[in-house]
Order: sequence, then structure tokens, then C-alpha cells
Amino acid sequence: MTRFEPARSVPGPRHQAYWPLTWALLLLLVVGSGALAPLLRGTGWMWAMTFTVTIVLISTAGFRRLGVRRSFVPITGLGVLLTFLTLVFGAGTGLVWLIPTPDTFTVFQGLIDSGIDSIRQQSTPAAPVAGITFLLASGVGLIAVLVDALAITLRWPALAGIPVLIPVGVPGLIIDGGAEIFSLVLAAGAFLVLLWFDARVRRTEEANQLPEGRSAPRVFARATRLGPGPMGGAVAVGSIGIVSALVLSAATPAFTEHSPVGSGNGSLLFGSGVSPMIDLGQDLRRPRPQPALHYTTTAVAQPYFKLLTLDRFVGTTWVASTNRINRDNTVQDITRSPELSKSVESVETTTSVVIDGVDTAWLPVPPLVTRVEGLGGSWYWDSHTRAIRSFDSSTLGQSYQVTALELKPTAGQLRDSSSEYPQSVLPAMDLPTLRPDIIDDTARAVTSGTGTPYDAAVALQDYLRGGEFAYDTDAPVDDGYDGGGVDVIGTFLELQRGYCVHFASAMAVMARSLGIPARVAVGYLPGTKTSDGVAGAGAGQFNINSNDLHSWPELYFGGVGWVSFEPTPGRGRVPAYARPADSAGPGSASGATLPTSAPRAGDDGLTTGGGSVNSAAGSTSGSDALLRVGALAALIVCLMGGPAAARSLRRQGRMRRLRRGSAGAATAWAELGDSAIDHAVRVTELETPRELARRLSGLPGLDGDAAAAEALDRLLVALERHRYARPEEAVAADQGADLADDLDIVTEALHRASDRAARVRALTLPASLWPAVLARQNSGRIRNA
Amino acid sequence: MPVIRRFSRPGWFPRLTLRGLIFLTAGGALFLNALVVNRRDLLFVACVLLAVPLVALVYVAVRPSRLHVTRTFRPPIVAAGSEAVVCLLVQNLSSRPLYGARWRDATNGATKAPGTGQLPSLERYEGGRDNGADSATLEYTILPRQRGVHGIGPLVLGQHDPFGLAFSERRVGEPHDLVVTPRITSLPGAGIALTSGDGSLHEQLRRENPNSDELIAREYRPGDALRRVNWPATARHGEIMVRQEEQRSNPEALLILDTTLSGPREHSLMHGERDRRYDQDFELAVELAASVGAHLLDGGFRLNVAELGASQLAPGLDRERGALNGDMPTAFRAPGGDRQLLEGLANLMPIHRQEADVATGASWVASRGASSQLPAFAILIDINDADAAGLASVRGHCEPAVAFTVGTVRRDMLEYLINAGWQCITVTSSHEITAAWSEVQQQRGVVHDTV
Repeated sequence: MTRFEPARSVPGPRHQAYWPLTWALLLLLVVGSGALAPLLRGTGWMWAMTFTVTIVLISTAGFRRLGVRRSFVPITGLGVLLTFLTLVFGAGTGLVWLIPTPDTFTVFQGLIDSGIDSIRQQSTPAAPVAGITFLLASGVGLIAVLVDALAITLRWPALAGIPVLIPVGVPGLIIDGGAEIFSLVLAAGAFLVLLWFDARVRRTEEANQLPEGRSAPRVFARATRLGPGPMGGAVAVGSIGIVSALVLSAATPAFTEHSPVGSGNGSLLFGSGVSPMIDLGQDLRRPRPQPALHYTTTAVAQPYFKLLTLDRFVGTTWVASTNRINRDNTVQDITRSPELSKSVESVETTTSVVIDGVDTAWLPVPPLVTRVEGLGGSWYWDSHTRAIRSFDSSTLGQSYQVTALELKPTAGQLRDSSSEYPQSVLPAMDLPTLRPDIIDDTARAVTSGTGTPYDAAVALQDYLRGGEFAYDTDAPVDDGYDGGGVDVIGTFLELQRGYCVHFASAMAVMARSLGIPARVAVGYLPGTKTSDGVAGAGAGQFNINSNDLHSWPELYFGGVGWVSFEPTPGRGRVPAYARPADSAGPGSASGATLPTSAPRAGDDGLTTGGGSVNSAAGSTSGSDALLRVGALAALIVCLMGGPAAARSLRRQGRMRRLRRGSAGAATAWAELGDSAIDHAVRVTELETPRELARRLSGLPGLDGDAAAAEALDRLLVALERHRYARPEEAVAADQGADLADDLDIVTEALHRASDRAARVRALTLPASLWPAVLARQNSGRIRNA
Repeated sequence: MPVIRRFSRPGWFPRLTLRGLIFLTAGGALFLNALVVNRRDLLFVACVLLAVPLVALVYVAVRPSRLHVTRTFRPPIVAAGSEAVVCLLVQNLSSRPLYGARWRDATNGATKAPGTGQLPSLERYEGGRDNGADSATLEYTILPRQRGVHGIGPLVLGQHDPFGLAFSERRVGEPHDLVVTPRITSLPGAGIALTSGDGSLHEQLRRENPNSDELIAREYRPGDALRRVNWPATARHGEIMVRQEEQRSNPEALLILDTTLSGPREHSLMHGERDRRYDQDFELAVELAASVGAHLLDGGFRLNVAELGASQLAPGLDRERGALNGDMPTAFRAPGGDRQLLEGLANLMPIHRQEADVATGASWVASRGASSQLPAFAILIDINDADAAGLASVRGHCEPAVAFTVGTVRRDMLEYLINAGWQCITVTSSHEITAAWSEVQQQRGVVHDTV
């Protein structure tokens, strides 16, 4: 008699059991904080977070090990976190570097403020400055304490997933698409590992605390399996669950095109950053453009929409001055620019604008606006830049009519304008004194031989639009010269790659270096005409999306005022007064610019670049939806075809074995029984094969079929011989192929004999599969095979 | 007797645990929210929360587990109020190890369920003997309070998925009946003093060979006490012979059981209003019958049990009228008879009498002839006039005739029986059984003295 050993092991220390939970929580938090990766540059912040989490979790586990009372453990965890933060971020203000003093909290306050500030100002991916790192470390430390309390102190490990949603969910609030799917999958896996460990810990706990007493159940077994249980089940359930979640979430069509909260269009636009130019680049680099606004206009040429004007240098960077906005300057009446002489032809136009997604305090309006109606909130205009701004409301959801002047100066008028600039314009000639020499050198080289400021401006524009420069939204970021400051312009002039910000800024800076007042306007290109403008409401409507964000230079000409130019190649439209064809007439312009710019001179209206990008984006979103529907359909087909495939595989396998000779009559009969079950023939295990054969041959469709009856008979005889004959008279092995043929005959006859519904069911939902899947009460197989 | 309730749900039907339900609820809410705000990351989290419990549900539903369960009771028959050990030998028959399962034995309400416990890991089927690593022995103690036949089992095997989200219970094996016999109070005395004669056969023999020593020795049978060996006769015969003179040949006794409760309170039975007091009285009567019957069997009597209603101890078509109306009583003999009697009594319940042919047949006792007088013990709960008349009519064939009444017999019936010559002793609780029996013996002692 084998010796039985009681299954219960020696009850170990209770806290021992919690270490697996601690490791699982550590994994979960590290993986969860990794989801922040798209928001931050580098990996230093990641190490800080991992280190904090490790310190907190290990120390709470250690305190638990030392026997600290369960309810105190979270408090000790908080203490450890504070000590750790004091040591690392306290800058030596702590007592013995460790114990926080009031000074430490002052330091922390400063770190928090600077962290929040840099979060506001930086755009993603942000550089993890000390403040941000401090916020991340302390935040994840608090989460670690909370998670530890939930999962181990209170033993609700499933709820520990909720705090981890914070680092996992934050990227979705800030950038489009949220955290990367890879880190989401990892986090889900880590969460499942936590649940699995918890289930195991619970089992161990229960096994160690068996109820004592006479009525308690006693268990005796050979203690063979000591380690953890088989992983197969956990891996199977977890991976199938996560994969189906992936498929499901990918196949779910979206209700709304873009989210009303979070990363809506325009929320990045000047919303948080201090540098509109960098933000503008950010918006241009968005993979999926989002609608900004749409409008209808009476103007012949669709206007640019100006948001704000950058007219001042702070340090080396362009900024917008906002201090001249007067509360008396209401938008109902905007005075006509005093510098504009009557001789310049101007046409009054009306434009109706509906804002779709722009969310900013600057109102997008055509230049030279004279009146705006229908606005909600209080809006005021800047007397110098004529930008319209609100201090209490936003553009989101506004719909308004703008009356503006469409200015049509001629090249002659501009060339004749005086170079005597009024006092108010003079600041627009300031330049940072420390600027790369290449700016002045290039400006002089390009404009050599031009006589008037106008000709110089056109020369600059043609130089930038010429073949030497390439429009590229990514290169400045990759090479680290994004923005519009003078130092950036120096780099840009060397590398000759950049986007509108660089072109506009370069032209404005070079114009200033030549003594022409210049500034940079930021706004939107005119957009594209509605493609489905057949008739009705959509006709004549223009749509502007985030890809139409643009900036361009404005130069001052006496008697005319501020005049826009378009130096960015492939974007926007060169104004009629700045066409090289016009400027070449008087002969003062350089002939060299002509050939390169000639092909571009023809593109009146919109360049094809923006339009094609937009239509491409539209078609990708369409194919996305198609793909999603297709995936869903494929999933359904897979689900429905699964049983049929399983049955077919089983049948093929049996047939193969039969024909190969490795299986005999028993397999053939089993297959026959399965086919009968598929075709709704009741087969019980109480029947002998002969009884079943008699019933089969008596089926309505089969009784007249002589071939099938003979085949059935042969199958039956083979089976009976296989079963009951003496072993030495066993059937020859090469009989299998004949059996397979007979089986085919009988199965086909069965198929023919049953009605259509039974046939369809036999194909799609073979009933013979269910016993294998479901009936696992010890009854065994249904067939007597 | 409560009927064993069976679940209508299939045994393998899986359920979600609380955690699984919370997952589904939270996942559903998050899913809708994610759809509305169009957050792909939240959508994925929601889908994980939705998909994993469902996959777990499928997992516990299709996870194969084939077990073989053998259930034994120690002792196989247990008296009410004493403990029995239920011993389960569980063997894994499937080709995969069984891990992380829980077990409990389903019982009906009469015995306390032993609670649930962890099943140790069972290796895959080894095909060997049932003590390998593929099997485990589970034991628990039950304390049945009520007599009866209690179904114990089947074993319910509960399985969680690895994450504790879903749960399925599966019944393994069949329920087994545990016979819980009535409690027995051991009674004083050997029972010899009860009878006036030694039994019919012995008397006959003595009449024919009054002085023979030879004939009163018989061959040894298993169970005979050593002290009974008749050494002279053994020496003569060359095999072990036993004295017979101390053994009654086949002394008989009659035990009359009131199972119909057909007194005026009968309506309460008919309408199914179970009167708690009646129930207790009936249990007391059964306990009394078990004690007296076991005592008599122990004393060597052949015990004839006559039920007033249709026979439940040995049911049959010709035994539905009641023993006083002509049915044969059920006989029990000494070796094994006590066990049969107790098993029979374990299942006894009050039944409704078939009124059709009251008092048509003659009593078996009366038809037996007046060759000898039987010791008769009647255990009465609530009798009607017909029962009382029947009892009175058999009084002449019985000596002694003792009626134990459990306190609910009507006073006029009691007086009627006393007048008819029955010695009536009222027992109101099981503690009084010994005292009541002593009373019987004292009365018998008096009778013997006077004869």
C-alpha cells in the first residue's frame, strides 16, 4: 500500500504569499508608465518612474514582511515615497538628505510649478525637465501606494487596474490615438498576470488555513505537484482574450469622426505652447487633417484667413504683441486703415464663416476686415495688426459674417510707394542684433540690382519660391531647427528645407534687414471647394482643415499698407501684384528669377499640393472604414465557418488514415456515425452497429439506393469482422481504401436523402461536434465505435 | 422526508464570478464611453474587460475533466445523532492533470453539508491502482440528526478559470444513500423474563422426550457462545455440540406499530398540515419501536412487526390492509434481523390508511391459533375505535400485552385498552424509554411471582 501524505503543507508565514503580488504590481506599474512614452522624449523619465515604483512596492512588501500591521503599511509606503523624493529631488534640503524640511516642500512646490508650466508650454513629445520628472515620479509613487493598498492590503487586485488607467489613459487625452497599442497590450497582459497571481495566492492561503475540527473535510493525496499550476490555461485564456479584444476594438466603427474632448482640432493650436510657429508645424504634421472651418464668400479670389500677426522679436523669436488691444475697438466697426490711399482699388466682400474645430482666442478672418457680425462673446481688434481677439470666449462653435476689403494694388502703385514710413511702423524694422550673417548676405545678394523696396520684395519671394528650396515639414524637426527665430532662419537658409514658417520668417527677416518693415501673419490658406458641391447647401462652400494652416510675410508699403507675399513654394497663391511677370515688365527685376518661377506663375488659385493631400486623406479614411467592415465580416465568417472547418478537418484526417491503411473499420464506422449525427439521425450508444445500419438503410432517401445499401453492408461486415473475428483472421490492411470509398458512397447518399435544412445544418453546424465539446460527463463517446 | 432536489440546469453550465460580472459591467460602460468620445485606447481596455471574462467562461465550460468517484460510508449504517465518515476516492480519468478544482458533496437538507474544499492537484490518469498520484482521498464527517435515507452526493466539482472570472460546477458520479437508522436506547434485562414459555418447538420436544439429554444437544453453529458448548456431547459426537436447553427454539414476539395515526386528528394528516408535535411523536414512536425491537431480537426472539397501515417494512400488494386486518406481519430473525429492522424503520413514515376494507380480514394473531401466547408490544400514537377494537380482540392471544403510548392517544382509547387488558405505559420523550421498559419488567416480575 502506498503511503498517503496529507496535501496540506506546513503553514508558512502569511506575508510570504504576497511577494508574487508585489512582483505582479511592479510589472503592471512599469508597463503602465511605459504607456506615457509617446508624450516624452528620451528614457530618463522612465527610469525615474520605475525606480520610484520599485522602491515603494519593495519597501511596503518589506514592512509587511517585518510584521507591520496591515492598515499601517500604506502609510509607511507614503513615508518611503516622501523620503525617496526628498533624497532625489530635494536638492539637499532634507535633514540628513532624507527627512523633508519646510525648505524641501518649497523646492517641491517650485518643481511642481515648473513642471506644470513646462507641461503647458511644451508640445509632445516633451523634454522631461526636472519638474516633469518630479511630477511623474511622485504621481506614479502615489499610484504605487494606492495600488499596493488595493491589491494587497484590501485584497481587491482587480481594482488595482483602475489607478493604472491613469498613465495608460493620459496619452489619449493629449495626442491623437492615445497610447501605443503595443504598450496597451503589455499593460493588459500585466494586469492579467496580477489576477493570475492573485488567484494562486488565494489558493495557497486557503490551503494553509484549512478549517480545523471534526467536521472539517480531510484531504489525502500524494503531494506531487508543489509548484505553480500549469500555465497553459492562463496563457490560453489571456492571449485569446487580448487578441479578441484587439480584433474587436479594431473592428468597432467609430461613432464620431473626432472626439469632442481631448485632442480635438485646434486644441494644440496656440492652446498651450508659447511658440505659435512650432505649434503650427505640429498641426501641419498631423497625419489626419481635421476640419477647421468652412465658409462661403463673395470674393473673386478666396481670401487667406489670418489669425494673428507676429510683429515683434523677443530674444530671437517672433511673438505677437497683444498690448494694443483696446476695449473700445469692437468688431462691429473696424476703421479703414488710414495709410490706404484712395487710389488703390479695393472691393468690399462678404464672407460667412462657420468654425468647425478651431479652438483659440484669435478669430480667423480675411485681412483688412471692416466689420464682423454674429459673434458670441466680446471680441476686440488690434489697431495695428488688425488681429481680432477675445479674452473671454473661444472660436469654437462660432458662426459669423465678415465684411472685408479685397485690396487690388498694382505693381506700379507698389513700386511708386514712398519709403517714408510712419512712426507706428518703425518698430517693424527691428531685428535682433545677434543674427547669423547669412541672413544679411543672402538678402543683399538676392536683391542686388533692384531699385525699389517692391522689386526687392519680389526678388526675395522669387528666390524663396525658386527651385533651390524644398517644402518639407519634417526636416526642420529632424535636424533640430524648428521654429521661426533668426538663428533658425540662418540654418534654414543653409539647408534650404523647411515649411511655411521658415519661408515666411526668412522673407520677413531679410526684408527687415533691407530696411523694409515686415511681419509674419499666421492663419489659414483658403482651403478647398467642397467636392460634393452638386447643388444646394454645399455649393460654393470652402472647407479649411488643419493642413491648411499657413504663415506668410506682410510687408509695408507707404500709401498701401501691409501687403502679403507668398514665398512658400507649392503652397497658397502668389498675389497678382507680386507676380514676377508684372515685376519683370519695368526691367528692373533680375532676369534670373524668371525661368524658375515661370511654371508657378500659372497656378492661379490653389496649388494642387494641398488639394491632393486632402483628397488622399479622405480616401484613406474611407478605406479604413472599408477595412474595418471587412475585418468584422471576416471575423463573422471565421466564427461561422469554424465548426464546419473543424468537422471537415476531422473527416479529412480519418479519410487520410483510412486510405493510408493506418486506420480500419472502427474509424470508418465512427465517421459514418458522425455523418449520421450531422444529418439529424439519432445515434445512441445502446445500439449495435447492425441495428444502426438497419435504421440507416431504412431512411426515406436511402431505401431505394442499392449502391449505398451495398456499401453500407460492406462497412458493417468490415466492422463486425474487425470487432469479433479472431486476431489471426484480422482484415488486411489494404482494405482501408475500399472502406473510404464505401464511406463516401454512404455519406453522399445520406446527404442526398436529407432535406435542405438538415443539409445546411450538417455543413455549417455539424451536430457530431457538440458531444466532443460539451458532453464530458463520464458517459464517453456517443457512438459505439 | 424531503425529496432530493435536482438541478434543472445542466451540470456544466458556467457562471461568472463577482469579479467577472464587474469586469463585464465596467467593460460595457467603458465601451460605450469610448465609442462616444472615440478613444481607441479606452476601446481596447473596454474590449479586454469584455473579452477576457467571456473567454474564461468558454474555458471553464469546455475544459475537460473526467473523474471517477467512489463513495463509502463508515459505518455503512449510522444511527441518528451519531457520526459517520464519508470517504470519497477521486481518480482523474482524463489525460490532463486536474489542477485548482474545488469539491463539495451535494447533500439534501437533512444532513449538514460539509462545505467546500480544495481538491488537490491530480496527475493525469495513470491507469494503475487507485492510490497513485492521479487520485486523492477526501473524507468528512457528517452528523445526521434525523433518521431516514439521505442521498449523499453527487460530488460537485467546481472549477475556476485562471483569473477567477468564471466558475463552473459539474456533477461527478451518482448520489449514494446513507441509511440513518433511528436512535436505539439499550434496554435493561435480557428479555427472558418476558415470556411464560420457552417457545413452541422446545415445548414440543420436551413433551416427547422429557428426560433426554442427547436430544437437547445440537451441532455448533457460528455465533454460538463458547460457554454453551456441551462438552460430554461433543466428546460423544466427535464434533462440537452445544447445549440447547438455554436457547428457545423459536420464541416469537409481536410488535404492533401505529403508522396510520388514524385518530380524530387524521384530518391534519390528510391535508398535509404537518403538525410538528405529531412529527415528534412519530419519531419518538419509531425510536421506541427500534429500541424494543432490537432488544427483543437481541434476546433471541423472532420478531413479528405488525403495522396498522399498509406495510412499509416489506411492501407488497397483499399487505396493504394493515396487520390487524389480516395482513401477515413482517418477521425478523436474530442474525441480521436487527439491521433489517433498523433499515426498515429508517424509512418509515406516517401513511394514510386505505379505508376501503376496514376490519374485513381477521387478524394474523387470531388466526394463528391459541397454541401459545405471544408477548406483544404495541406502540401507539393516535388510534381510532377500529384500531382499539382490533387490539382488544388480539389481547387474548398475547401475554404480556404492553401498549406504549406517546401521549397523544385519546384518553377514552386508553381506558378502553386498559379495560381490554393491555398494560398501557405512556412515554413522552426518549429519555423515558428505559424507565418505561423497567416498568414493564417490574410488572412482569409481579406476574411471574403470582403465577
